[in-house]
Amino acid sequence: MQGFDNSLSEEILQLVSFNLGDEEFAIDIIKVQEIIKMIEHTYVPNTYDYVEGVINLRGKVIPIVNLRMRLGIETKEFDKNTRIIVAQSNSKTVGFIVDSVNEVLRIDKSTIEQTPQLVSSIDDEYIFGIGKINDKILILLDLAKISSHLNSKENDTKIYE
Amino acid sequence: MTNFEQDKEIQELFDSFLIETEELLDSISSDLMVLESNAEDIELLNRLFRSFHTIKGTSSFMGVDSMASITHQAEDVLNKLRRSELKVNLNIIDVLLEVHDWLKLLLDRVKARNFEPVDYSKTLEALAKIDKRGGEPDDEPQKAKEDEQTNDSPKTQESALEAVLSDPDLVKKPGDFTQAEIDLIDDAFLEVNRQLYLDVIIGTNYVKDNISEATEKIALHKKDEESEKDADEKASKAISKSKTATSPMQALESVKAKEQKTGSETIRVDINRVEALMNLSGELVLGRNRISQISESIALEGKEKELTRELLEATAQIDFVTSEIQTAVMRMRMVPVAKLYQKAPRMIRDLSKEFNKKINLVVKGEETEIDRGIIDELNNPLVHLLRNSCDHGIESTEERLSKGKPADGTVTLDAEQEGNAIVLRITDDGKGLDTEKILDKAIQRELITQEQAAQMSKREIFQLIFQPGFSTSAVVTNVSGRGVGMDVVKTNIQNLKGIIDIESEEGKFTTFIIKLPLTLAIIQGLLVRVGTNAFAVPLSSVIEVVAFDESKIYSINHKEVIRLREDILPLVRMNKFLNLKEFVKKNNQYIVVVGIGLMRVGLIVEELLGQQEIVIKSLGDYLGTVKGLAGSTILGDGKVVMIIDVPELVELCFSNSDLINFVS
Repeated sequence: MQGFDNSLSEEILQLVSFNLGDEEFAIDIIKVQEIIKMIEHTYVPNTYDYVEGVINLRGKVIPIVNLRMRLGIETKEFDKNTRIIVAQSNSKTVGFIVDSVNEVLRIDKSTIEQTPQLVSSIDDEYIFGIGKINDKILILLDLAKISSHLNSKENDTKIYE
Repeated sequence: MTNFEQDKEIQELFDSFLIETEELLDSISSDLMVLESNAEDIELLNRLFRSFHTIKGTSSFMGVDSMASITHQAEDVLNKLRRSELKVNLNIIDVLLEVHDWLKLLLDRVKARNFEPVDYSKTLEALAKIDKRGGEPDDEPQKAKEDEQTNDSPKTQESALEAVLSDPDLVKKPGDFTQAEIDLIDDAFLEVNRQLYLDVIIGTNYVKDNISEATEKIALHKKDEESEKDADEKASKAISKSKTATSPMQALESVKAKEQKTGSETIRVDINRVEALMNLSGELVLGRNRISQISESIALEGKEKELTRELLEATAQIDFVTSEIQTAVMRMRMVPVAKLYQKAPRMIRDLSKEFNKKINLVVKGEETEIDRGIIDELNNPLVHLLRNSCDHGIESTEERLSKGKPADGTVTLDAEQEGNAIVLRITDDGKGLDTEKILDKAIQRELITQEQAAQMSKREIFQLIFQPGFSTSAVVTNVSGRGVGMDVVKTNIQNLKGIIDIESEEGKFTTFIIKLPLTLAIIQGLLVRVGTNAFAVPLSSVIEVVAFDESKIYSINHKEVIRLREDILPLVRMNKFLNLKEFVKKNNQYIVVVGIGLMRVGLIVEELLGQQEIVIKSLGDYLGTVKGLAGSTILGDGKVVMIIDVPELVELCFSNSDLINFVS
């Protein structure tokens, strides 16, 4: 259950859902520190392509990641709906840039399914599971995976293949 | 011991003895508690043994014999416990706790300059009883008895060693020694070691001479009663001399008499707390910068003149206090370089033996202070550089004599503060670096080409020895073959934002120069701008700033260079480094000349924004270390700017790596 723990209840997960392209994704709310509008950032040279730069979050320097690029989805210009989800994973703080944030949802853990093949345009590696709410399909992202660095560069190539 | 400097050293030693012993006693008491429920824990027993062993050594060194002798007995018991010759029981723990309490009491008394012995004979008896009950057959009880009789362990150890050494069956194989004999020798060496340490610290050869004289005589193990006696006398004389003439305690007393107070008091603070304070003071600096900027803008508007003047005054006040706080916090982390250099005498001694060369050590400027975090990281590089000097630098005695040099080589360790930097120098008066040999090797290892070799300056050639995969020694000795090359030394220094440089003259000397920032957290930075991006260059590596003229650029090896006076200066277009498309303006550009050693690189920028105290913030765990960047900082207006890692940038420019896509 990497990236997901829920101390409040055994059955109910609280998620933050957001959009990237045509798909709706979600991450565990416990890992989310805050959600902010896109703000001025500073470019960091010589690092991963998907690192958009760093921002000053009340005196802390926090890297922001273009999540589209990180997951291998075609990028687009930031607009007024663009948000940064500041999340904590393995004691690292990272801001993920998403198209827009939708809502906070509650979902019964038992309804989360293992990833079926070809459900999404992104690599299964980053998918923790699939949640269904009414007739909506929600892709639960494995936060630990997307915020670990593709540390090994071999891993890096994988999403761009 | 009339020299004040020496008194000061003794004082420092004494202070650290107090602190160290206190710490050890604390750990002993908690370890004993754990031992009660974990009687079989061999690791724990070993740790306890070591703690007592250390206290025994240091207290006997400091001349607090009352502490040394009781610890000695406790150590014997623990030795048997860890060898499973005795079983841990409640009684033993009780007695050991008693020992601990006595030591605590004694230490408190020593702190109050009270060196009168206390009567702990009951505890000693209890220890002896435990020791005997599970004791060893022959030698052990006798030795314990001797200790009890004389209560003068150094002397006993000397004669005990003598007894072992003069044994007609001396020529034993290592395995044939009984445990008791090994212990005796061990103890004796501890004593000799202590005297040598004292010798090194105090800087007199007197004790060493006497001891070696005595031990030589012992080693001859003459059967002749009289000469044996003579040796014994010499040995004890040496020891008693060292006690009367150079007793640390007496020296201390005289210092105390002068000062008439309890000396500088210290507390040990968790480094994390200092770190936290450091960070907070860093935040304070950022806040201060911001306030300064705001008040200046208000002053520029020119309204409310009176209020503005007051605001500026208040700002100046905050400015001053902030700087003071920051310096004070920084000073909390500062320790003398002596902490780093103190291992050198012993190392040089061992290395002289290892390479069969006579090498003297000269240490200068050890009182220079440097950030504690930096000191810790410098240990390994220093060890390697010292080994390097003794191995590759200093020639053999015959070679030296044939060259008309003094037979004994000299290694000099030097430290001084230069502005905002600390400069450490490790010099040997050996054969110096052979540029031809270095070039040959570098070409052979395919680190450089023939053409490059022809163009290289002396300094550039010296820098080659820091390249991974470079080693000038044809034969890999067990010293050089330790997997720690000069490249690792350089990496270590660079991680500390420092630079390493070499000066050398063939046949005369080699000097390694390590230049380090005073502290890792706050630096003076030159803020510059390209396009809409600002970035900071550590001021310590800025050499000069010159006007930039596009027409004067020409190209060598596909790299842009400019002629600056006599030198060729490689250029880095910072817009490319920062991945910006173009300069906003084509004219009015500057070249910020930065450098390490004699290597210079020009950074092309658009505007100089001024000098500022900047707090280095890491880019966070997520990004880790980024090539060419030393970190980031937050400016007064809240903007994040990158701090250029000058050594790395310079290296990127001079290396043939493809990474330098920003160098056109």
